[in-house]
Amino acid sequence: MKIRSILQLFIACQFLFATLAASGMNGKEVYRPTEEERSAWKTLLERGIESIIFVKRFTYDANHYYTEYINSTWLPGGGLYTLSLTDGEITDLVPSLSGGVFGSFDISFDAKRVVFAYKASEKVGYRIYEVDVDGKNLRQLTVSPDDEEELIAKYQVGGYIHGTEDLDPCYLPDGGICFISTRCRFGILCDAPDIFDTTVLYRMDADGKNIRQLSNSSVSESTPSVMPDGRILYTRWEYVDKGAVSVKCLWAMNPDGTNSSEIFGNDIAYPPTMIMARAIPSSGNEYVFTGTPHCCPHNGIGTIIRADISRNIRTREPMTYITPYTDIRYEHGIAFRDPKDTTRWYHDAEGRGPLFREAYPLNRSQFIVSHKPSGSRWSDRAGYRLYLLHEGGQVEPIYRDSSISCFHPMPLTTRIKPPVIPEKKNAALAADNLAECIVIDVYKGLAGVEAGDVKYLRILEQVPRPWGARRFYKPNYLQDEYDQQHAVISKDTHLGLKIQHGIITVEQDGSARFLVPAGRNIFFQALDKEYRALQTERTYVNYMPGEIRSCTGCHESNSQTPPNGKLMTPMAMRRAAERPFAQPGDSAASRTLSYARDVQPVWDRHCISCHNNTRQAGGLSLSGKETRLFNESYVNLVPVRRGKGGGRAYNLTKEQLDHAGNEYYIDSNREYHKADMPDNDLYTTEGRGYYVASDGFNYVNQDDRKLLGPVIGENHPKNGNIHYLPPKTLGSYSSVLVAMFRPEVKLNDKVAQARAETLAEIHSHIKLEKEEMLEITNWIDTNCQYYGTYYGRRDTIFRLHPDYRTEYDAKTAVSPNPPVENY
Amino acid sequence: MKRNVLPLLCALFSACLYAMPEEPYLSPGPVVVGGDGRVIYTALTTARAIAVTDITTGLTEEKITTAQNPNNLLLSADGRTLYVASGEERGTVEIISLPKKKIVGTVGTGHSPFGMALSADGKTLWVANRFSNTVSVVDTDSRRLVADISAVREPRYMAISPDGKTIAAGNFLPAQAATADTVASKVTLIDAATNTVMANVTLPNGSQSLMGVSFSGDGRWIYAVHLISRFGVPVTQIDKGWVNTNALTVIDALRGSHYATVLIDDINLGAASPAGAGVSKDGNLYIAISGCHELMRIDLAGLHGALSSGIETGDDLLTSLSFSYRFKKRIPLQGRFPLNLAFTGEAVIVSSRYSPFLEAVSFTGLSPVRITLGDEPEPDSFRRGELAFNDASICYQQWHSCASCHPDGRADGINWDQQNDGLGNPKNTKSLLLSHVTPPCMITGIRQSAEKAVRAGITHTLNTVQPESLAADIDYYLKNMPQQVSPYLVTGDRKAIKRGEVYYRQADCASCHGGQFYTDMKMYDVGTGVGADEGRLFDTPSLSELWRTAPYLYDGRASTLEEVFTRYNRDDKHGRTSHLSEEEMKDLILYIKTL
Repeated sequence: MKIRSILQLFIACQFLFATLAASGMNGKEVYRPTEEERSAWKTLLERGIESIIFVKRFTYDANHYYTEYINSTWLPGGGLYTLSLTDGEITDLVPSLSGGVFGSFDISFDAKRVVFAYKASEKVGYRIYEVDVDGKNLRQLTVSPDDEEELIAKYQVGGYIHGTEDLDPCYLPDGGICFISTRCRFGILCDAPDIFDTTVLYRMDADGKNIRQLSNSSVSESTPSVMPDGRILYTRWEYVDKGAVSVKCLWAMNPDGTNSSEIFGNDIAYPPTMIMARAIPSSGNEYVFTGTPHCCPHNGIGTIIRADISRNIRTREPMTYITPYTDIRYEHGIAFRDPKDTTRWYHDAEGRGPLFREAYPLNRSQFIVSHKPSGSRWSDRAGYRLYLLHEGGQVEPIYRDSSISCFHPMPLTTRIKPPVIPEKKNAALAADNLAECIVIDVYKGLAGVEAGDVKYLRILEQVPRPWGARRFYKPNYLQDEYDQQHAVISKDTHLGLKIQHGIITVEQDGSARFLVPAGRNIFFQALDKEYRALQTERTYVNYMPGEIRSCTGCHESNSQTPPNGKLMTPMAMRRAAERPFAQPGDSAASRTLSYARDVQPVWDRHCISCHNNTRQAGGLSLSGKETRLFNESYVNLVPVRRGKGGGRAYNLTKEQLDHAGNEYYIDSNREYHKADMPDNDLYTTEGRGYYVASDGFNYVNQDDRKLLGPVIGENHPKNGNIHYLPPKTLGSYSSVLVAMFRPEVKLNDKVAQARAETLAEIHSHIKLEKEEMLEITNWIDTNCQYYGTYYGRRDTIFRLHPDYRTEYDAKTAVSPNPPVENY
Repeated sequence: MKRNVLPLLCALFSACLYAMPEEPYLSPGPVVVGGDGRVIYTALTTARAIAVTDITTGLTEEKITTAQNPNNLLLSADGRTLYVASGEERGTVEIISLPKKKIVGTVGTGHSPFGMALSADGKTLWVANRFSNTVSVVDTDSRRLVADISAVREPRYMAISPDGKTIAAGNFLPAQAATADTVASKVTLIDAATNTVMANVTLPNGSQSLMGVSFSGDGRWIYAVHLISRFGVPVTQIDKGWVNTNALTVIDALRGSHYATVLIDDINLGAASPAGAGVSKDGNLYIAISGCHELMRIDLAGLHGALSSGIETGDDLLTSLSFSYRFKKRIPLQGRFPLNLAFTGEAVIVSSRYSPFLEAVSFTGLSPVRITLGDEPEPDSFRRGELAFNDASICYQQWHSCASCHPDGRADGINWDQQNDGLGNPKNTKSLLLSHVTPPCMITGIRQSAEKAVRAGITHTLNTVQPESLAADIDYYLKNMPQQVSPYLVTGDRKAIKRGEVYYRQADCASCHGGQFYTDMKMYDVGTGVGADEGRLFDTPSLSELWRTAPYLYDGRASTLEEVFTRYNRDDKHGRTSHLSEEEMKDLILYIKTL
């Protein structure tokens, strides 16, 4: 149009300006809510929430819940936004950061600052930034370490960059910031392609300085938040003699890394991942979290669950599904309730039903959440919007951007700052990098163990796998390949390397007082007078330097106080804390557990004259001849846990699919059915061999001579064997091989006991010395590991290599770098 | 004569160091509802007055002035007489006639009267004298003391059964040696007809700070609230009730024996320092949770149902932090440090010591409504320090306050294995009276000064970081805490006390326990160390208020002073006492108990 006058020009400019303003100039837009959205806004405004803050991002499509930063398709876009519920103004807080991807964020307790994770480009990892809530003073808090380029060059495998990633920042009451990071340089244990690394908890000062590692976990920790009592609530993935993908559960620790303890989920098989947890402030013992698959191909999306820890946390009683039409019952895939018949549930690998993530509690039954309604696929790039969620699953929309997803909504309001927990450490212990543990009465929680039976505690450590322990060797990328284990350490038993730090005395009254190395994943076994395990702690605690920590027994529940009024101070308290000492036959307290070095010589001395490759007495050879990765006796004793011939077997009957590591199985119509689980899914009777099936895989233990008792496979089955096991269920007290040489060990399984007695008679002329028997029981009690460290080549094709199957000591076992750079 | 008066002068002296503000603090305490449910009487325990509040208007327009600070109130059944237990070492019951609100008589009782009970016919009044360890029986017609019944130790809260036959008096502290098998407070059950003790019911091991005592409506049960201190374990953390827990005991009133004890804490949140308690007509037991500034409602049908279901019993109950979720509700209050409660037809009225208002919580509701009692000055350093000392809400997960082990700044009578002197060597809790002026602190002298000890306590025992001003206020409070006058000074035979003073010098006590505070503040081996502490030097403690700080010696092994000088002083390393005759020993001990 022709501008005829100044007035027309003026009006035109106003119009233009208004249009531009509404469409994004100056980073400000106005969002016009729908009728439904207006209703949700009203609810929020009535609660005093005038503004919310959230992230826009193209939906992650990574294949594991913990690999969103590793293998999501690189789709830069989105931003950090606030939405005013009074006038609909939507503001991009950091328009200067574009071309990258925003992770999650936290707002300060006074609602003045926002700390967030941002990945600036495909080549650089996530870093943590901070900005004032008005968008001013953007600053980067974490930067690449000096050796980042060397790191990448050294450890890069294929397209994946092993580099530094800093994520999930969270403000702490003392002014510091907690976050997760790969700076620990640990790799996931079950990681065939060598691309999955581990994030653990860190903290730093408000200005990004003084980065301190708070934990030592082997496999990933995620999504910290702060609880009303000042502790950090976070998700910890872990397994010690348990299925590898079932336990990602809620833990807590003090902001200095001390006092770590389980909140909920260590015994709960599904959902396999409990993540993005927050304490519900008005309700002292309740927590809300997102239940998600482990992987394949999904990541952190799923269902919203509230847990009340005043109920028995070893059961599902604490759990209420806020979104009761979505569930995760397997390692992968989503279970959706049939809308037409709500008693039926169906498995959908595509995740086309309602999905949720990142629920923020307004109270115990109202949340703001990121949600993808039914229809599109789980990884729909723009599928997730912001909703108000009510207990019972009813959702009310708050905001939607049809071009991109929205995540991690939080009210932009002040919050009561939780109290500061002081950092207290015993200086003398800290100087020696030690922590002190006190047990008041080991017998509390040990049903079936008589007073006086427990004589020692064995101190064990699960060693995280450092990046220095490689799977692929240059130049040809030859590898020590065995299943999904990274650096092979066992045949289908556990993936996390164990080393041992000796034993300590348990006094007659069940008390103990001892020192443990700090900054390690420590767990204990209660031993009888012959050093046989009565019970094993199938989790670990990372004690910080100078920490002094007491527990009641082995083990009290989460809601039990210590006993009151014991007359005298526990016996162990009347002396100094003991340093762990060597077992009989060991030259040092700290040692590796190496089958070839420790156990094979016993067979060589006593057994191979009959049990050799030529003359296989009882059909068993205990020869020490090397196999491709192990040796013959080990392969013959330890069962394989994969399908006969491997791969899926779809035509299994219901009975064959039962007795699963899973509580559910899926039929050919993809409908879920509760599996008829036996009381103890480890045990078999009548020599049937046990089936552990999931998703149509038929895991029949092959070559199981059933001499070792129920050795746990962490990778097979991946999602089984996580529930609490009473004393004497595992290890020596369940092993025919032990009972046949030590008749005082009586097995609970009658068939096994009868067999042990028969074999004992046949072998009555074989005398195993105390120290020899200890090597055997130590091996069985620690779940039948083969290799003592992550280092050294295994495959016989490398037998001429200078670092072929080298025996290393405990010190080397925990070193982040290989002793021989054989790479 | 001068020496006898010295303690009194000291009390006045320390009171003078700290000058109370012109306007008194109200410190609302016990509440009673009268005038056919239309009037609330509130004892203003530091203002020498009783507030009179009209429920219908919510206004407090009148105050009744009392002769001494009122400790407790009890209304006769006909609503025409208000009994006021008042005063300290010269305790009295002031009798006020209603509705005229005039004091018509005063009866002298023992030291610090508090708990009261009235017979149905109104003719007999029982009064618990906290520091005399007795329950006085008063004939209300003649207004005379007619009997004294022995309780155990510091009887405070008291209740009478609905049938008027039994009186239950809660003894605040345990009386045993701290090294005994069982160290626990007791509930004294008195036969109202004969004024004799029927039984002393021992609470579970570790029970102390026994406060509210209440009968169920049908008289079958007695409810008592208290702490359970886990003294057998080293103090390495306070999570999950590792150090202190808070409990409700149910006593079978008909059998006169312990029935069950449940913990009222949550798994990760203590319910610290339960105080006044009462059973309402709607079948709930209400408890003032003073340390957490809350009111707790216990559904009694739910409690008894859960107890008789056998879900958890005995020892399991004593360690279970999840049992009580079934039947309890915690209601936050605005008042700071709620101690006492009473009932109207529709609501619970709660008074809080550090707030000049009452709160009314309806029987089904959750939101308190304020009722103003009057004005008071802004809290000064002493007042702030006193509150901080008693405030469990500053503690990590609110398990306890300083007062949980140091009630009124004194001691719980229990041994604790703290880290300050290494672990494995428990020490008896020490009174904090005069600790700021008699360094070093702790019986081992491990803390250079009380100021350091206060800050260490905040860090290590409360597991919290607080502003320095809070620690400074606590210092000020402890430094200016008035010393309680000994009951023995009031009732003791003057001549015997004088003789005792002579033996005190003769036995050489004054060479270490001399001077203004009865300590030379030096360390000595008095032959008392055993085990890990054999040959250890101990800091000479002050003897002020020794009459109330049993048990004695660094590990509390002596439940009486007699034992200190006989059984535990065979070689006279701790004063030359072996030559004293029984009579002489009695006089010496009487003298020491007047300090």
